[in-house]
Amino acid sequence: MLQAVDDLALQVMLKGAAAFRSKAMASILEVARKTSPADFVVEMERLVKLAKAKTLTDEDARNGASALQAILAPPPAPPVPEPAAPVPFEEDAELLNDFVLEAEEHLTSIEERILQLEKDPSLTEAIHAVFRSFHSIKGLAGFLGLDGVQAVAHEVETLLDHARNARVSVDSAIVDLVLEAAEYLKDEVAAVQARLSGSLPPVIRNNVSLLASVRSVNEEVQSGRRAVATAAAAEAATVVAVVAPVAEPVAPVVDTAVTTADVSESSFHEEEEVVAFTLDQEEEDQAAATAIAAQPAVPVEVVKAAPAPVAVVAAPKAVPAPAPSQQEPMRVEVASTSVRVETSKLDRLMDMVGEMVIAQSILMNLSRASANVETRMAGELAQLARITTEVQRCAMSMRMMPIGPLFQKNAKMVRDLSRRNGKKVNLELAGESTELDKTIAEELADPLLHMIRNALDHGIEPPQERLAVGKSEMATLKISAEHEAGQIVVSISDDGRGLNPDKIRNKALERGLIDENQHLSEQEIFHLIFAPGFSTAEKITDISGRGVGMDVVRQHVEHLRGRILIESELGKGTTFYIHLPLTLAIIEGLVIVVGDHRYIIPLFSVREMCRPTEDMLFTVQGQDEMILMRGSLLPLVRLHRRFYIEPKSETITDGLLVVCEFAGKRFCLFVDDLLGRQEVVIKSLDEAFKSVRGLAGSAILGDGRIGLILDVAGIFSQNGFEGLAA
Amino acid sequence: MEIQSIQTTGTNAAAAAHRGSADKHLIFSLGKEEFGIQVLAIKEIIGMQEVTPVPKMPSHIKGVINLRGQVIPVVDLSLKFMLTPQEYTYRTCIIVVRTRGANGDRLIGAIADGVSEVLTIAQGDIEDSPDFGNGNPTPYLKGIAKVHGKVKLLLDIHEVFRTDSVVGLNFSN
Repeated sequence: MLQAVDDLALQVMLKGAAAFRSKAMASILEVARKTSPADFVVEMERLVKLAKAKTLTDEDARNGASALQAILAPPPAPPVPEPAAPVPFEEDAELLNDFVLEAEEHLTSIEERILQLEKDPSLTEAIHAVFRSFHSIKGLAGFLGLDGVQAVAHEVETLLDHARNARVSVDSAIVDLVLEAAEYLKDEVAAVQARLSGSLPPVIRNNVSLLASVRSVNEEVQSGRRAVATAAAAEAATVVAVVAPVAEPVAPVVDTAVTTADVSESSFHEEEEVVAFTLDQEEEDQAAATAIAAQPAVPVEVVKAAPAPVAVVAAPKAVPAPAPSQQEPMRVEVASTSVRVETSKLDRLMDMVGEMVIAQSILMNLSRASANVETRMAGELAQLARITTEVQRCAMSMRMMPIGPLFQKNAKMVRDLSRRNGKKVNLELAGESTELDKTIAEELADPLLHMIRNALDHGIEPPQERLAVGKSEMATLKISAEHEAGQIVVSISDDGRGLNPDKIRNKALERGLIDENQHLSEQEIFHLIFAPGFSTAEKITDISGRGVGMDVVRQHVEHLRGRILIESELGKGTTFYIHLPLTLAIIEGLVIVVGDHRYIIPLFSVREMCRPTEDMLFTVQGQDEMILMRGSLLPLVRLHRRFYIEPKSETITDGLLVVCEFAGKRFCLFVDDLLGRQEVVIKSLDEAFKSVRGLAGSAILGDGRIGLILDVAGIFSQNGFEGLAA
Repeated sequence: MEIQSIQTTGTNAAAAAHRGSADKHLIFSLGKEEFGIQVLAIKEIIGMQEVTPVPKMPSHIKGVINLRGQVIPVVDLSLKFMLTPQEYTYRTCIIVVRTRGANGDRLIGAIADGVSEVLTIAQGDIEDSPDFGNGNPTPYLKGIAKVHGKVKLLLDIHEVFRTDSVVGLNFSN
């Protein structure tokens, strides 16, 4: 309860009387009626009522909040979570949704920061950041009545508070604890999200042991270095003492706070908060007092001393509401300058921008076609063209996000896995600020995970083995991202064993993936590792060896229209390069014609084009057709036959062959003609068309008409081998 | 308490307004028959335009059009209901309706021979679709309204455009 009231008091500070009108009031009141003294409830009810009627002044609200705090003042040690406000889910879905989003952000930042801390424990800013994140989560959870979250966040916060005040140094045991707590919170958040979306919430493991272990560390710290703690308390008291003579009206409150600090045994952190609060109030009085009294010496010291604790403690609390920044200087740094926008809105924006570009180009063509256009008009049109291009570029960039967070997620896994396997790995990240489409980033998460696991399990040798071959004990795993020729290249590089082409070849022979006299390039041999069920690992561990992972990688990357290159030297290490398009929303395509129809073939699946001659065509058993092209035989697919449409001509020499490739297979697609090459924005087709194989989507062409985008794999396998296989 | 009562009246007013517009139907013709669709479900009415055909679809699905950057399917209702196919004239138009899809709302264009008016048809004036004794239900039909001595067939557009529905409007012949 005290927690909730503290939060409330802060809200009042920031927003004035409006804070009493917030939604959470109802739940606080409800709990208050059950658990708090009668005078508290009466006071609370009075304030809420006044606030609703809008007759409550900010001044009164502030006083009221202090009064409420005073009633509850001698704080019963809060680690025991009170029966928190049972917020009905359906009513507060919006609040909870915000909680989920915010908590997820905090948890990501916690993981990132804590791993930084492990590398360099002297990073005080990182401790503060982690502390703030936990504190925010605690505050939010408190409001929403998520007991488990609040209890765990509270304990960890206490622990971090010790760390922050240099009462304990951040060693790997503490990092483990914090990470475990973060993991638990993540599960809780996932459960809330599941409940929100109406699906069955996952089972949440018990937090008792986690709580107990954090608590025991806290107690150790507290009992072991009690002296330090009291010193800090004394320091706080001094600050207050300096203030006291000047700001007399507040002095009694301060006294209470200090006494509490001296008396209470359990949670040092809570008291400090109380002190901070009173200080904050004093600061205001102080400012007034200074103006009249003009006693520079004393106030200067106070002002120097006071803001620090206030800022650190108060800042995270302010997260639920945007706060005026002059009260908390630290807040400015924490505040993110981004706005959350629904993806559907972005898509809509993209649609409209696309239309604008089309309208603009039509206008442009019109002006070129007509003879007597004023020069001024032409100039303005050119200006419009520039603006539209810029707007389109902006709209595209909105979907982009940096790849950094994705890397960070894996950093934790590298740490866990390498430790479990007894390997020493130094993880290097590069190019974290490289931006890529959000959808791609999300889909990339899985393949990245598998490739890192693979590198850790198969690539990197145990320390003894490394030392034996003269490498340093510490292996290096490097993950980087960069832009290259309109693509994103993500590389995962280890300095481990490297791939053994002979071993892979033998294994593939054994499994019947290739045959004896098949000649394969090194790259082709390396790519065999992506075959489903392929594994050279002698034993299956819990991490990998089942031959599933790399298959998943291949599928995902193909789905993203990307490709993988492997570089490997036996004994030196392996590097995987994943080439990905910058965005999924736009593709380059060839616009082709068959009869009256226009289609777009994605350029990434086109290898070459040619005008065939009569002697290139061969028939197989009178029906299937093959094309002999530079010594290799490729199956011929006539698009009009697959789509049952009327072509301009059936004669092979009248048309054009497009050599398409998918999943390593090549075939020739026979079409009437080629219109050109164009960048198009992909638009999905309505569900009514989901039964049509061979269509990947649609796009609006330069003249405003629609072109259907072909799915090369779907076209080839129609009534073909896929049908037989199924 | 006060606030609650205000909210209740507010809801009532909104419900009343809602009911008012729910009664409004757009009347359009397919051949000789007249049909009605709830105005609430209609996004807009546009003139006939070039439709890009999609291969391997049943004949009533004419293809897709570009509705200001959105690609939406277009269905010829005459063909869908197995009525006599109509020539497209200057009166032919596409009624863009909003219906429920598997992944949220979707827009579909329905080709009609011409729209005539918007009529307010009270619930009480709507009769259940008659039993023609052939045992076939008429799932697309929400009811039949008689206005000024003429019959208007009121369609349930969500049923009409359900992706999995392949049944014809069986009473047409």
